Amino acid sequence: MVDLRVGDEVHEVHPLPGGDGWTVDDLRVTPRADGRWNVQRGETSLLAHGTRIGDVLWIHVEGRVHRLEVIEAGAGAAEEEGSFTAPMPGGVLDVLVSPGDAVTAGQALLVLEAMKMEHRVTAPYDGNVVAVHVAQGDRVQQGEMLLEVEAEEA
Amino acid sequence: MRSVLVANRGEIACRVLRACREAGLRAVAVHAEDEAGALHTELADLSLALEGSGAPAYLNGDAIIAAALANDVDAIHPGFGFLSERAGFAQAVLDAGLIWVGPSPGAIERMGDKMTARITMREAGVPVIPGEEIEIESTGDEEANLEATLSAVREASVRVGFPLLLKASAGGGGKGMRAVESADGLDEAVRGARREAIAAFGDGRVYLERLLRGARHVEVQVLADAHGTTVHLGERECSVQRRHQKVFEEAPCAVVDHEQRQRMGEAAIAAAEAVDYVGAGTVEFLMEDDGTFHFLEMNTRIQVEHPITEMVTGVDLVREQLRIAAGEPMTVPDLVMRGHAIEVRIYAEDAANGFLPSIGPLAVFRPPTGPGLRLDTGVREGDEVSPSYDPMLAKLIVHAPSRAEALQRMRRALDDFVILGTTTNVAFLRDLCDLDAVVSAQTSTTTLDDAYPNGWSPQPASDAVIALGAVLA
Repeated sequence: MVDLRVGDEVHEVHPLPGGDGWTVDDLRVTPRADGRWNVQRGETSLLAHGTRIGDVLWIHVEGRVHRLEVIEAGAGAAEEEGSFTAPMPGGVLDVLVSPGDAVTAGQALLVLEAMKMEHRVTAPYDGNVVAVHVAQGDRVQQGEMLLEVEAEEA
Repeated sequence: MRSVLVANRGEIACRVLRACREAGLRAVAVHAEDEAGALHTELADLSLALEGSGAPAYLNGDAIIAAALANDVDAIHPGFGFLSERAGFAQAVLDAGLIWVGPSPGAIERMGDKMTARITMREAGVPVIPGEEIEIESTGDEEANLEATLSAVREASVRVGFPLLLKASAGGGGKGMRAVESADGLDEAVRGARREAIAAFGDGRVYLERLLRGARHVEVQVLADAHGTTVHLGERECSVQRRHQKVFEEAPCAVVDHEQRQRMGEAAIAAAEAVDYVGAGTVEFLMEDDGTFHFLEMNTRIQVEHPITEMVTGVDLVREQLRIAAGEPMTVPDLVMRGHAIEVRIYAEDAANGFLPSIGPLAVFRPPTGPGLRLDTGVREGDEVSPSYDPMLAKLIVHAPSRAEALQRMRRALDDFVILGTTTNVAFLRDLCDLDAVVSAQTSTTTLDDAYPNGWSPQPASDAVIALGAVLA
């Protein structure tokens, strides 16, 4: 059994090995000699590309690339809710809030600069700023914690 | 002219190096320490290492000129970006006794400063967008400069009217630019634009233009040689932009007829001649529904989207640049625009997440093939996308007999393009090909904002995706 995160959803899947490939529900998945895959349902067959890098699966089917995350059994809960991490490496141009501030959904919290363009980090919901981990002028790495906002109790 | 150094990287370096080799010229590349094995170094007869990593290495003009002089180079081609529009660098190249593949430093300077360009164009009779230059006494004190700018902008905004566009005089590519809806947002916009412009260009001067909503971005390719010939090669429409960055370009423009092409072409030639332009350049216009057009700016270099003009005119623009730099007359036939070409820019960015640049390995990079396709890229499978450089990975260009067929070809080509390991905008570009505004050629510079007011979302994963994921996990 494997858990896959696709966007906001988590899918529990059960691939069954057998013959020259695997069966997943009513689909047959078989590897091809050229490194691609056949995904078959009844008479309909699709050609797919796929690769795993770390915990991320990259899959190209029918002209679209999808990014799936593998959730290993026993792994802790994903990212702490309410925390904001740097989406990419860059510099902190401006911090617009302080701990204790009440913020409303859509309000700009912080301005990052990367590749000479400004990017605003905004609050996705109403809430209160719990902590600010960076200051104006800081360099941040991708994934680094920027600040934490607690959602307002409904 | 026997040996040309290409002072650039990525896809445009590849484009120019290939042209040099085709022309029988010795092709010399340069590379930063972190790009020793990059594709463009392979396409050259010789690649010279520059000190340092990232963009600063390619911006070190003195080091590049020294490398050229030490390696029997006759000419320097700057590509686009980096040093291409720096008049000081062009002058230093000439002072070193080398050929500069581009217009004179004077022409670069007069077009590069957008306020000066506006004034020059007005004097040459080329229509400019209604607006106002903000001239302030600049001092060493940024706070004082900001205050003076704020008060001058507030006054000018009353005359220009809202909505307006605040632009950095040294700007380009959307940097240092802000749309301002009303007086309320003015101060914050001035601060942001100045900050961005000072960071990017070291120059925070700004000017105002009326925001022409719903206008098209239509630009005209010009070519001028040192023998007194200046021609235009028709227009490109580049209205589909996000954050003022072009993503989808086509030639010809679907609503420009022969007479309109002549009018815009003549204005573009007048613009070039006003600064004694020599080489390849692009005069950008905003065009309103009634065909009225206004000068936006002139790019004094080869442009990212030059391939679509090459496809429909049959002219090799880079080869002509080399010919003109060598002092030869251009070899451009009478203008005939054949069929329709479209270019999309493939970026390493997350279209579903505010178009943030992304990084990662190009674990799989399989471009489409087939009739009427061209791919200009500086990467190949196995390369790593680094945050140190511009996130544009490739330009995919299609050519077909009609606009409808070009769109069909682009859809097919994007469906066949497989890039795994780094998030790209391929699916976003594929969706663009189905937008009503794009299909009906009713594009304007606000098309993307109108189509995706809450951002773009990708298609959900199908059962087949999940099933393969289960096997790969």
